[in-house]
Amino acid sequence: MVGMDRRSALRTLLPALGLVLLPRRLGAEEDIAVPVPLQMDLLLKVGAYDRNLPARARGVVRVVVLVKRDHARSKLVAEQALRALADKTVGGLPTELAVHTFSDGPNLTERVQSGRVSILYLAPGFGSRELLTIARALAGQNVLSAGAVADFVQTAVAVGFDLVSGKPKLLVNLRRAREQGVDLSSQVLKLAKVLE
Amino acid sequence: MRAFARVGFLALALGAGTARAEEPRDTTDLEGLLETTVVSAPSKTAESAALAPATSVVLTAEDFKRYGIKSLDEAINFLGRGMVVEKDFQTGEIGARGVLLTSDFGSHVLLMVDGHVLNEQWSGTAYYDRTTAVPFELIDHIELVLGPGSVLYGSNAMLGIVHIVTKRAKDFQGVHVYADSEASLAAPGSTLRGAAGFGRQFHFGETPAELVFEAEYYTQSGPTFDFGPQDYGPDSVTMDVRDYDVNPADRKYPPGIWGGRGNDAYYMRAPSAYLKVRVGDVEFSTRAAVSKRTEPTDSGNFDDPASYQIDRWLHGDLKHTLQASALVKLSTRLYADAYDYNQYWTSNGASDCLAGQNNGCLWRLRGAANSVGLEPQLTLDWLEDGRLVTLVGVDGRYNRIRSDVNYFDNVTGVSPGAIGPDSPTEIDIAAYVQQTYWATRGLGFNAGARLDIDELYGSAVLPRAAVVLMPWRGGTVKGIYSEAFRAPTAFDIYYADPTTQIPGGTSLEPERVRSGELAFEQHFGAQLIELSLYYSKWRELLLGTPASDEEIDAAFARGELEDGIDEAVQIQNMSRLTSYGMDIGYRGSMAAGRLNYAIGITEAFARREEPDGFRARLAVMPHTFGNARVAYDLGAGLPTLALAGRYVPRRPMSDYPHESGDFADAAVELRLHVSGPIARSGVSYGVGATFLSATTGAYSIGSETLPNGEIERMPTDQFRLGASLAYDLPL
Repeated sequence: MVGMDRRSALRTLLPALGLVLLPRRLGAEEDIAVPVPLQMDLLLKVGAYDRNLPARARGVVRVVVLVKRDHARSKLVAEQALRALADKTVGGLPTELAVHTFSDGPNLTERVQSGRVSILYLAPGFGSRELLTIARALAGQNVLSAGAVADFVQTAVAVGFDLVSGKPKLLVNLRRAREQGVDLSSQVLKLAKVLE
Repeated sequence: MRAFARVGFLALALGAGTARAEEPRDTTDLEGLLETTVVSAPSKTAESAALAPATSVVLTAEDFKRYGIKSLDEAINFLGRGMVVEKDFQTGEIGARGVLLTSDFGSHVLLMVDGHVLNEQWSGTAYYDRTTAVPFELIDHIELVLGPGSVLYGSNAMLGIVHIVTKRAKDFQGVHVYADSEASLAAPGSTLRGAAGFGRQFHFGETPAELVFEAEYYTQSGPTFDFGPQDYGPDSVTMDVRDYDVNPADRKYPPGIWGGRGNDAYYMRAPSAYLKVRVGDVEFSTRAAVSKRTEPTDSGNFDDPASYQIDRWLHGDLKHTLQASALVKLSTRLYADAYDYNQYWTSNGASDCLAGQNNGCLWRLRGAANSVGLEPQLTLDWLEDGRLVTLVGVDGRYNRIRSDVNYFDNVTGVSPGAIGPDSPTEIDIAAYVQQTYWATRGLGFNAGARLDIDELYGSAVLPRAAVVLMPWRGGTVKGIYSEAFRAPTAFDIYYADPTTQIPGGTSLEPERVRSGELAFEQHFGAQLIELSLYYSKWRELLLGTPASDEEIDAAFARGELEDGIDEAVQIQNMSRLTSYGMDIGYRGSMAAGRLNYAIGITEAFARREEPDGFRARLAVMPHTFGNARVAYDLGAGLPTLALAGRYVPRRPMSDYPHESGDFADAAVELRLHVSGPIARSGVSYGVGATFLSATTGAYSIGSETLPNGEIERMPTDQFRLGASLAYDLPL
């Protein structure tokens, strides 16, 4: 038998208790229900069903991960996404990957246009105002947008990923898809939860 | 702005000017990805089941709805793989991969809901039947993790882990009302369940928040079976003929004969409620549940409703997660449990009671455990991209346990005093570490260990190592080595009964298992085939063992046995066990997910070995078992048609109370279920029929035999019809 000094054990436990009780104002962790590598596999697969992607890509699918400045989780997810996307193709086309730190709407529009971005993936960290700004910046652009957080599809992006019953679910915001020149086949839409 | 380029597939890039997009001809690859199951129990991280360091099976709420599943035993038996639940009246005994230890009260499997352990701290009991008492519609999915899993969770996870994950508010929005009932046709009886729930996402100030809640009430009466007759002769103490049936109105046999129509004491009442609230990074969940139940044979009398068991639970779990930087994530969990158990066992016979209680007694066993614990956990993502991640955690828990036994005289209502009253307190401390490393995208390693230190039994170190290789498209090969333990519980150590049992004592060692496994899976679009081969060795198994004469004499000297008792059992570290075998699974979908099907087969062999070299096959556990299912959604508001079946072959009967060597009959159980929405009403329905081919189960009844000399076997509920209604009001 291994005896244990109860007081010493409590001395160990009590400081740890403080970690729970201390207030934290570093920002809520958003839900990334579907693991990022699986999201990337899904995103590339969905991209292949976007009828406008070949014309948009012109030979190379440029994928940009949009991150929030000074946001730890945003940075982490971006790195995970880049790692998962490395060496992958979309419908047989090679990919070119980049990260863009969000500053404002016009800057994002400029980045999408000048960089001929085919797919824009939003890492977590964006608040509702920023999401609206992003949605406006992408309206009228020719880009397939997707988000790491399922709720992003309600506001800003055309494609999202949720986890239901332990399996990923594809979410498609048809309005955003139309605004952003995304044309997904009806076969794909049958597999998705479509938000009008 | 940080811009950089990583150009994929050099050859393709060089030929980019000539590259042509290939528009996929069908969506099977996408369907396959959408069939990927995500688990969190194996490594405390959400990951594809294929990449997890354990073989995992996910049972989904979608399938529960399709097949009319309403309890954990049904979910495991019809939808699971590798695990099986054998029903002993209402109680489900769980086994996996060739090993089922009868009367272990589910303590060799770790049961969790949202990461909170449900095995109570008095005896390690967890229920895999209606007594699980988690409101069923609130369950999003259930993860079955096969094989030893103590590396991150500690005691009990010897056969595996059953992890219930509840729904998020987004999947449970609005108000929900449910009602369902099943009627037994072959032997009259019925069940009724009503439930109501609520889910909502909202903002708490600027912070996103959500709440889900469901409460349910389940009641079961019957089915009504006929039992006996078994002739026990006169009471061995008073030499009088005993009157077994306490309800003279429906007495079938004369006094002295046990048996009759069991129409008074086969019931269950199980209310339960679960609440989960999340505000930003903080989540709080709580569960309150009660299960009161009995069956006609669970008494010293026959069909006595005053004889029953009741479990009560209340737990709370507060979690906080902080992503401090891309490198550091800190999670902390504060949890508390209150549990108690009471068993009331009636008898009109002096031979079941203490000396002097010649008119019988009420035997009452009480057990209770109150716990509070704290689990801080640190995740270090060294390369800040998920490739090299260290998880370090500490879990400290304070337990206060109480138990006693009383014999209340039937005439005076007085007990001579509590027997074996114990109220030990203990502190368990555990520390664990897990290192994952993805050397390439197709080669990953996971290694970890956990040190558990407990005042009751000492310490245990549990390692696990796994390598995951994805050698080709859609294929995964895993090699896993893992160990697990089950700590001797307060019940094992302290429980005593002066007429039957000597305490196990503080020298009991933890049960241990080590296991090696090779797993393979291959995706073909939306089709998946899985195969696992495993070998495990168990040692120091705790077993109720007949005490030697010396041990009985010593017990008398300590006052632990009554005068005149010449036989008693004691829990001892007695057995070893070897098991090996394989699981095979195939599942898939077609027609854009409208046609779903799966099959799972487990073939496993296990032998228990005593110190004297005696080897025996395990009772109740089948060598082979499996299930198959198919469902088709007709679409456009039409119903979903579903058929599920399972098979267990001949298997040894339970060796208590008879060591007969008899075998239980093979059984096929089929369920046909039709479900769908009622147009634009918010109401959905389900109707189903369940047929079981075997008329008897794997458990025997009574210590005597029937007049024909055969052992009486537990009857089964052969044919049931069920119906359910659900009303969902989105808000």
